[in-house]
Amino acid sequence: MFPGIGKTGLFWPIEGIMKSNSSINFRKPVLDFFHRHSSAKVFGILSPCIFWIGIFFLLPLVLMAAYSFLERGLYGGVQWIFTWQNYTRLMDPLYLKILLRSLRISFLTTTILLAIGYPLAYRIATAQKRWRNILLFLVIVPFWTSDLIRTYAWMLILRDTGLINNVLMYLHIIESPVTLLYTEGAILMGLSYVYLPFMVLPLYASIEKLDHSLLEAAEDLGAGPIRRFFKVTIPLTQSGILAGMLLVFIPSMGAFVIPDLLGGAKVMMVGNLIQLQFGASRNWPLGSAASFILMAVVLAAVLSYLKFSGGRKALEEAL
Amino acid sequence: MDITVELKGVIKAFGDVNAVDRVSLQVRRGEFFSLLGPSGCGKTTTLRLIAGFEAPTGGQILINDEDVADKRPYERNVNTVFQSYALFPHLTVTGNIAFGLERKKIPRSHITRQINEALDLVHLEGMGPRYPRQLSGGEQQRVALARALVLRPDVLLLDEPLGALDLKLRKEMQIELKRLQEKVGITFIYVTHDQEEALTMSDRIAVMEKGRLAQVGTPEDIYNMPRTRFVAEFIGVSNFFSGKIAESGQEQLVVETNSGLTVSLPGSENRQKGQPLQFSVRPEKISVISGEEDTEGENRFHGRILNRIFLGGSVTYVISLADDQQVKVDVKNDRRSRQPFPFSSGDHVVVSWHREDGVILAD
Repeated sequence: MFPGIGKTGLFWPIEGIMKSNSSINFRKPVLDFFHRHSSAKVFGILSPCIFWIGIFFLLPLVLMAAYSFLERGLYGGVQWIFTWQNYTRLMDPLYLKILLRSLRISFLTTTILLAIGYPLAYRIATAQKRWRNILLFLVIVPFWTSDLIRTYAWMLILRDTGLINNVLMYLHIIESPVTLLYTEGAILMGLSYVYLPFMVLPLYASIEKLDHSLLEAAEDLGAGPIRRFFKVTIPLTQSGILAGMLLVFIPSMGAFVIPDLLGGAKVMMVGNLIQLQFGASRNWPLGSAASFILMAVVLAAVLSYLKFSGGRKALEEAL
Repeated sequence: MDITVELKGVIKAFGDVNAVDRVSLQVRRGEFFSLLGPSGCGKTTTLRLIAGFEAPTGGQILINDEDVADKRPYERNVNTVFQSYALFPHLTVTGNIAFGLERKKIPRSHITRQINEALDLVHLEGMGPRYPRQLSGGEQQRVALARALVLRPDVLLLDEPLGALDLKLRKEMQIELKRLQEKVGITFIYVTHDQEEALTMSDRIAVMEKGRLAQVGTPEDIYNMPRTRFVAEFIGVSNFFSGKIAESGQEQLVVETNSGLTVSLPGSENRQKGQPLQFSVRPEKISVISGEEDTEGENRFHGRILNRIFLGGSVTYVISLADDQQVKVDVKNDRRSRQPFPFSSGDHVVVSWHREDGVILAD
């Protein structure tokens, strides 16, 4: 059957994806909906979403894809001449190093935040009810200030004449300032600080709805606190762990404000590279190509992680 | 006598309220022991105290003569079947049953054998690879049972395990549970608010009221000789009378009820003439005959039928004996009473019961 013909023909790809997995329960009503109504009607109902995604997501993506195969214009913009050059240039070890560094920093940020975020979320979720909202509020409250301003504040704390160095020198623990700013460590610090709520909130949601009687059952069946944690608590909060890790990893890979301010020119991440190409370097095609490579790398990392951890089911539950 | 679980003056306070109030009881090895009472009577809290999920505010709990005060639930050889079953959703049936075994460092092949035996025991052969969400309520219940029994606990605690099942399945499971308990010989402590369930399955029953034990005994004891009005009311149906003692003796006690009836009761020590007294008579212990008969003799009274309720196996008559005294009478639907139930609403009848069937109640 040709797509677009027949009652549900237009939506056969959606149907195919949905059929591939049978454990989700919202799938059936959605499919029923497709079967009961004509394509035109379904299209009409979905048109706001299709319009929105088309204008603000697909169109820019197509534009960028096109740009990435064109030659740069002299003062920005593009010349409509086809070339592979942008991609071949990005295979240069210089750029690969930036990509690897981005991967390493994002991975470390995710790991650090999981290690900090899980105990924190657990503590909040198991706190007394009246404390829970207050504690959650405290986690979110830094969001009320722009992260640009918060990052500048970190610069003041970390720089050679900043708070930390001054205090350490005053106490005679060190004699000369230690370089804290413009290091990979500073970026890690900044990313971990800014993305903490992205880790804590999904974790909190999954821990909070954990059925307490399952923990009691584990204990009843002879599991001490450690075994109980790894055999019951972790698997049952896997959806939160996964969501938190993705919500931290993906924006970390694309971050540019924090690495720019805290890492400086010495420690560049992919985000900075892209920003540079669209800005000062005026090489839009190279920036577009870098964006696509970033997207491919993130997608590959996430998919392989999902496959490796068997987390696809958990992800579906999280969504 | 061989005692598995003993409670000595156990108290559990939540704020100002004693959910469990000075409860002392002994559960014998291999016994099916029920904690019966209305919701909020402290039966589940008592169970959680034995399991170790709650710590007593006062008193002592002994399991196999050992004080378990500082033992965590995972250190007690006691297992629980939870009301909600609490099956691990991320594990298969096999995984759930294996959960407790894996800790015990038993070789894999033994674990597999024990799991299969447990599945056979609860009639779930071949269900091992399924997940809990793929099972019916009754099947989940059996998995919960198998998961706990496979560990061979000293005591199995069951918290209203049949509460979520429909009536027919519940009746089947009652018999099934009792069979299982006799087969494995493990001590069961069973919490329920369903008096019929307790009567069907238990060797002994402890009736609880507001955190305290109202009465402990065999189902027969509890039904035939309830100690208090609460017990008589909670278990089965009873007719209640109150009055004053008119005559007190070794052989019999004569009571003048507030409604004006003179009733003989079995003799009782330490009762003085003039003392107020409450007693009860079970509906099936009372017989009804035609109103033409005379009322000479013990405990024979005129009455008028107010209501007749046909229940299949029996008929219940509601009979007025006096202005403010009604009794319920159950008449069995058997061969002797064929051409049966000659009475209908408004008929005059004579009711009677034996002196021994009157049960004197503590206040």
